Amino acid sequence: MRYSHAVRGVLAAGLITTGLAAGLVTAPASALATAPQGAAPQATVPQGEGSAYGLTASGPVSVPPVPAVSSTTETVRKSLLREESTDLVKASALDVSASAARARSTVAKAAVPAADLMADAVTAKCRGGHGSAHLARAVIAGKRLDASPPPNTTIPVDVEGVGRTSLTLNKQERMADGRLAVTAMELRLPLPGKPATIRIASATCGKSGPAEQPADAPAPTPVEHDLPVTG
Amino acid sequence: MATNNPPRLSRRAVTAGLVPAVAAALLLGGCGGSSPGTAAAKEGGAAADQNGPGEGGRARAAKVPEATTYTTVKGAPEDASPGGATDGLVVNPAESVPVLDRPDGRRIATLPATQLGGPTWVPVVETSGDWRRVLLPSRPNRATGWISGTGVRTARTPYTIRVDLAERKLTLLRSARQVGRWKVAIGGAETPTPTGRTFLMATLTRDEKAPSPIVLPLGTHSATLDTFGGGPGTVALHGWPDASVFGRAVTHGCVRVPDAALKALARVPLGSLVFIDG
Repeated sequence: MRYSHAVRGVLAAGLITTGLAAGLVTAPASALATAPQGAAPQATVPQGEGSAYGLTASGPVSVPPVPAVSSTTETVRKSLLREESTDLVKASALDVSASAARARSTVAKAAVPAADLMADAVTAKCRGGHGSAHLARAVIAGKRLDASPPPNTTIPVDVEGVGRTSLTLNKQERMADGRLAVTAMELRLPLPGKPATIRIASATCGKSGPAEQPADAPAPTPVEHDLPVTG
Repeated sequence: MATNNPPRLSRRAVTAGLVPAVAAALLLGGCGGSSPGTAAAKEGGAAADQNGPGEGGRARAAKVPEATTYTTVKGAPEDASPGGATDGLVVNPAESVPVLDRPDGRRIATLPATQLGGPTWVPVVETSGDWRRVLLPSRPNRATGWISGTGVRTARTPYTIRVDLAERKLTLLRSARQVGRWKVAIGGAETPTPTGRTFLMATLTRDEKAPSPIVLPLGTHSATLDTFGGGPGTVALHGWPDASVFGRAVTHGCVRVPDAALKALARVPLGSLVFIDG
């Protein structure tokens, strides 16, 4: 597959207009704001936890997961009217919800212009440790994508000026804590210098095992640097 | 608490009152300051460069400061429990990450992957889903912010440092057990050491003959001195050649510690919490 549009121009435009402004429709921050004090409480007893986000990008342009919810109890929802803080990836109407047993993320009008990727709606669902993805009118470079792709369907894509990239549909992976993460679309762009990864519609659910212990913090290496401090 | 926000001295009063002291400190090489002004200018330039090609030209990022010891982060939520212990989780961003005022909230700063020539390690004081609330090295004191937990290295430090201003003693704890306790010199009446929860930000060495071979800047600043010796008024732990100062309130905010303490503290992982109690 070859594409003739000006990928470099689009990417360059995307790189200078990043940010996180977007219209927040509802913000039921209760589940987020009432989290207990103290860092990373350790899960000693396996408990159900669902979490979901609309989209995220990492690499030269970073977009933290928005909107994002997680819950170990009742259903928490969040919606975002638009996400267009970067030209790299855009979407309108991002809806996410999560409860202890399930999670769901739907992103409407998703587009990655650099890869000529568009979809009317992208949905990831996770329930009871099982996941699925649904794509409504999803097209990459004029080619229609399977509406219900099997888990971990990978499609190679050649993007002019960027090179060979890969698009993974219905990506299902086991997280470090034992839960299942379903990401409806994951696109890797080998941008010069720094590869970018864009994920659209992701839902995670299942019972988490004992939290993985972080490694011991390293002893510091002294560095030569002048900082005048208050004597 | 009273010592946390002492009446801010006017700039003139500070200058007039401290000229001899500042001059003396600079003659000695200060407590970390041999070339006043140059370090700040250098870092300021680096911060202004963030819109350059190296950072990918983030238009929005340019509108918020980098969270470093040189900057002030406006809109940063204040540390809600300045006396609270954590389980020792510390994070190091693999690359510059956005700092938000709450999970999914407004961007208030960018936390760089490195600062002061070394890796940025900040302590996590609260967790919400995939979001981590961390202490920031910037002004105002007790500034915190939320970063995404993805794309950061995490580690756990068993160490905490406690500075008791009333007793004028510093205690080093490993897994809540005392491994060392020393008499130290703390800030004087007009330039008190700020209280609250902060962290070990860097381990710096210097070539020249300085009062201290190692300087350990913390993520907090003098509340009374906007600048000191050309630096941003960063408070640090460091050594001092004259042992008679230990146990006295004579410094400009720094905590001067004996050699044995400095040796032990230099091995404590970056990001470890430092509690300064009034």
